[in-house]
Amino acid sequence: MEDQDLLAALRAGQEEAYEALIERYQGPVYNLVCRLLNEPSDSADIVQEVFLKIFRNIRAFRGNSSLKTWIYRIAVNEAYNHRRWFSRHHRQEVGLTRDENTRGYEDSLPDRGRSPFDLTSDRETRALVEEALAQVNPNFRAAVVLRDIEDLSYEEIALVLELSLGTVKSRILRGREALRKILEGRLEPEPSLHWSPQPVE
Amino acid sequence: MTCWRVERRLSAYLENAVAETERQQLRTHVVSCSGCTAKVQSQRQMRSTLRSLPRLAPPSDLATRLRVDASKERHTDRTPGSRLRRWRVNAKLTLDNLMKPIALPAAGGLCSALLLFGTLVPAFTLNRTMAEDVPLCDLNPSTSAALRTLAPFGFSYGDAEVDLKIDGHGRIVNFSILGGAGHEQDALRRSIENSLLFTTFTPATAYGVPVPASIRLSFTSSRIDVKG
Ligand SMILES: [Zn+2]
Repeated sequence: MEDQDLLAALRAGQEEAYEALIERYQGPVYNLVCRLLNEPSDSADIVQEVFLKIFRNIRAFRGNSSLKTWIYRIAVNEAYNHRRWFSRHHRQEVGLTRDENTRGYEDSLPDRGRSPFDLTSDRETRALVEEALAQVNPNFRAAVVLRDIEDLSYEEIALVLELSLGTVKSRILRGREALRKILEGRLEPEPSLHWSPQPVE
Repeated sequence: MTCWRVERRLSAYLENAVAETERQQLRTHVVSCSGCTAKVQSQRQMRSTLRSLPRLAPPSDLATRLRVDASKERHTDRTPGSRLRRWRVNAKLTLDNLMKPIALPAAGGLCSALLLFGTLVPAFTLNRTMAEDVPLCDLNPSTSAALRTLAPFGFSYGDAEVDLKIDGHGRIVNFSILGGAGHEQDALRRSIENSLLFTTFTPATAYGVPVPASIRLSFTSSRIDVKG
């Protein structure tokens, strides 16, 4: 079922449509919310909140953006609201739990003189990227997550974040740049001697 | 072309977001500079790693919770005023007589966190004596429901008043549109629902415990007034 047919069925209150909506979007919304929050333990509750808003407003949704971007927008807003609330109430606790949970980076530091990705396993690399992502400014992070993880187009991201296309582009670039800087600080990469130039597509 | 310049343009370069001439220059430098080649490769790696991050699996009970919500919401009559009317008739007289509304302008609909009157009857009996020279609502064991965040867009559709019932979690349990010009119109209702979608509340508390409360919002095109 296309999103448009799904929308029509949802407005008509069909049970299967609600089931299909949950089926289709629970995973992506959960993933998105987790990636946007530093403290993902509340993600399931936030996703529930997102879906409640969807259920309650689906009849009012005018469809001038796609169902997907509308849902993502609600999810991003909920995650932001939660972040604001959380940082007001739990600042100290966050500090404590982060200390406990943060892996020692020394464990995964590669030897100097090799490309950072040569020695670390895929799993370690992913863990490093995930940790670095959590440190990027939330505004830039949202843009990078939507582009590089959720694979949305620039136009879709502009609708989700309610920003101009230019601002979206700049946030993606700056987010990636910040991510790269954080990772470089971690991994201290040195140019490898056995590099092989790749054609740039 | 310097390494510094390449570094600044790296992300744009990989996103194919640079003009052809600059692209040529960047490429010429990159293939002849091992440092920049390494950077290009690590940036590529980073993006492909981002793309390959595992999808996080939601907890297994989430789908069930969502289905329960869906089923409840599907059967909820969202006609404005259906459930709140009875409550409103009872509460309105009492509350309106007890306190005068204050209105806080909400420029462009972007302001947040307007803390206003409490709505709990037990609280009122106490606060007359306990309130010192602070704004009305503090320094008593109860706090009122308050707007936490407002929709990030203006309300542009005439005027209306909306009564909200807020539960102990700060969620909107129900609302009714009280009047205002053209309140029968669907578009007005939708516009209000859209605004409420992005509006969150801090629950009222009585003696530190969150409790249900009511709040009234007046939507006008230039400001939003809040009454407890
Ligand atoms: Zn160079």
